[in-house]
Formats: sequence, C-alpha cells, structure tokens
Amino acid sequence: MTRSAFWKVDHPEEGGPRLIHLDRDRRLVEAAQADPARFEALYRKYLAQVYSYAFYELRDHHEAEDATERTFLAALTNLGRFEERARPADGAGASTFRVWLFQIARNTVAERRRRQNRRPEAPLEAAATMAAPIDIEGDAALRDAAAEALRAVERLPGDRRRALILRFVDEMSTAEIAGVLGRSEGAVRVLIHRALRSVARDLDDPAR
Amino acid sequence: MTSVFAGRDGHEVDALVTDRYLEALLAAHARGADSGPSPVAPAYPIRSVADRLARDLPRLHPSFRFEEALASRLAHVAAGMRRPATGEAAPFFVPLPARAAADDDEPLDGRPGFGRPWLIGGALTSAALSLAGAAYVAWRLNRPAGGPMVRAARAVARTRPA
Repeated sequence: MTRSAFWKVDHPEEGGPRLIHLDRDRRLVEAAQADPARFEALYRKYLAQVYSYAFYELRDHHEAEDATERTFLAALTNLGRFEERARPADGAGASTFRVWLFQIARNTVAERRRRQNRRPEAPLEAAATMAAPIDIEGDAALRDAAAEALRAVERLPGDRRRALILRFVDEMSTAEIAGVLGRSEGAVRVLIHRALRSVARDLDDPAR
Repeated sequence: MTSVFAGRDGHEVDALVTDRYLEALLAAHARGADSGPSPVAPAYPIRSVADRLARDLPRLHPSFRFEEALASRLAHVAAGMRRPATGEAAPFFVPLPARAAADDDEPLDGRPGFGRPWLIGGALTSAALSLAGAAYVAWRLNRPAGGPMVRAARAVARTRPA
C-alpha cells in the first residue's frame, strides 16, 4: 500500500500548517524498486554529488571513482531494503534516499580511508594542479581561489570537514547532514559554525 | 524569531544564526544570485567565509568515460536482478521512459550550482563559462531517451523467450 506523499504539518512561525513532500525522490525510488533498470535516473542525479564527497574525503581521483562505484553498486543491490523515513522536520525537498545513499558513501569512504592511511596519500591541492585536458579557459584566478578554499577545508578535522562539504558542495540541509553523520541537527549546526570560524582564521592567516 | 532562540545558549544561537544565513545564501546561489535576503546575519568573518566557500568551493564530476562505464555496469547488475529466480518464462515489459528523470520535479541534471567552479575528471573548469561545461549540458539535455541501463535491460529482454 502506498503511503501519502504529503504530510500536513504545523509551522506556527511560518504562518500555520502547510503540506510538504516527504521525499522528493519518492517516485524515482519506487520506480527503481519495481524495476532495477530505472535506477539509472537516481544514479545520474546523484553521481556528481557522491563523487564530490568521495573526492574531498579521499583526495585521489581514482580512489574517489572506486568509492563512487562501490556506493552505487551497494545502493542498487540493497535498494529493496530502503524505506523512506522522512520526517516533517526535514522540510520540503528533503530526500531520505539521498541520506541513505550518503550513509553508504560515508561507510565506503571510511573503509577506503583506512586503507589509504596505510599508504602514502596525495594532497588535495594536487587536484588544482592536475593536467587539465578540458580546462579550456585556463582561468588562473578561479583556480587559485578554488585551490585556497580546498586547502582550508582539507585542514579541518573529520566531521567538521564532512559537514562543510555536505553543506556547501552537496547543498544538503542540516537535517540531511544530521542523518548522514548520525548526529543531532543542533550538533551539526555547531559543527558547521565552528568549521566556518576555523576556515575564516585559516584564510586570514598570512603564514598559510 | 525570539521563540526560535529561546532557551538556547550562546553557541547554539550563533550556530542557528549561521544556519539561517547559509539557508538564504545557498538558496540564492541555486537561483543564480550572489546572495539573498536573510532574516539574520552572523558576524563578519563567518559571513565572509561562507560567501567565499559558496562561491569558490568547486563541484567535482568524474570523467564522462567513468560515468558511462559505471552506468553500463549498473545496467548489467540491474538486468540480473530482474531475472526471475524460479525460471518461469513469464513475458515482461521493460518501460522506456521518455527521459530518465523527466518525471521528477527538478531539472534533468539535478546538479545545483552551475554557476560555480566544477572539476571534471580532475580538471578545474567553470561550467558557466567553459565550452566543456556548455557541451556537457547540451549533451545531457539532448541525449536520446534511454541510457545504457535501459538499453541493457532491453537487450536482456530480447534474448528471453516469450
């Protein structure tokens, strides 16, 4: 039996009750659960986000591709076990599928990082100096600004870095990040606030 | 506004103010604007670095070769998952959507922030300006219906006895 796609919730600070969609991926997920070939739509939709997360965490193009592949294969083969668990508090547009997918990605990346820690690792800044076969405009200023931001984020400790990547690169809501990291929303807000303070100090430090 | 902050300590209030600001900032970026109206604003260093990260932190995309190779691999796995375990030869219909994600209420690409830097296959670029980005967007929007996953499923369906 299909559950209602909408849920009436009270938002007194926003002028009373309104209807929100529980999971914006509901139709795509249901289609893929009924026919695994339809998983492609979810794959195309989230490929860049999962790859971005993996690359920021692993700092290696090939490792990120490997983690991305494992994440999507695991998601496809386990899609039958996925259950939508969106809460009204997650807000309109929240995707519990995306949270579930990133939980898989987080576990996959953690396993890759453990392996990586046993071997020498390439710095993230290498990303900005890689051979650039399709870097057509060659905008040096853009590269410099991005590389500086990348380095500042790279220096953050574990969950602060992850929270910032999920917020700024993957544009997740605080509720979604809380689901991925297994923390409360309040804890995620504080993590992000402190991460931004650290990055601000870092970017202002001329010694860097 | 007061009720939101009531009962919270200083750190929580600061974090909540930052969170509200980020909501407005990222929503504005998604619309293609530099910044948007926010009911609250955090202290200058936080506001400044948030603006900068929202603008400069690159999105990453794997190579198109990797994207298509993984799509094919997923298609084969999906085709295997569709085979009935009992061996019953019931015919089945493989739906061919007009566009893979067209029934969603989001743009086909679904990747926010096209105005921001992108790193494609390890090469930094700006999708808003670069020919590579423009070519990619055009390719994605004009791609014929049915990707490798659907094509593989159709191939398996054709080989199965009715």
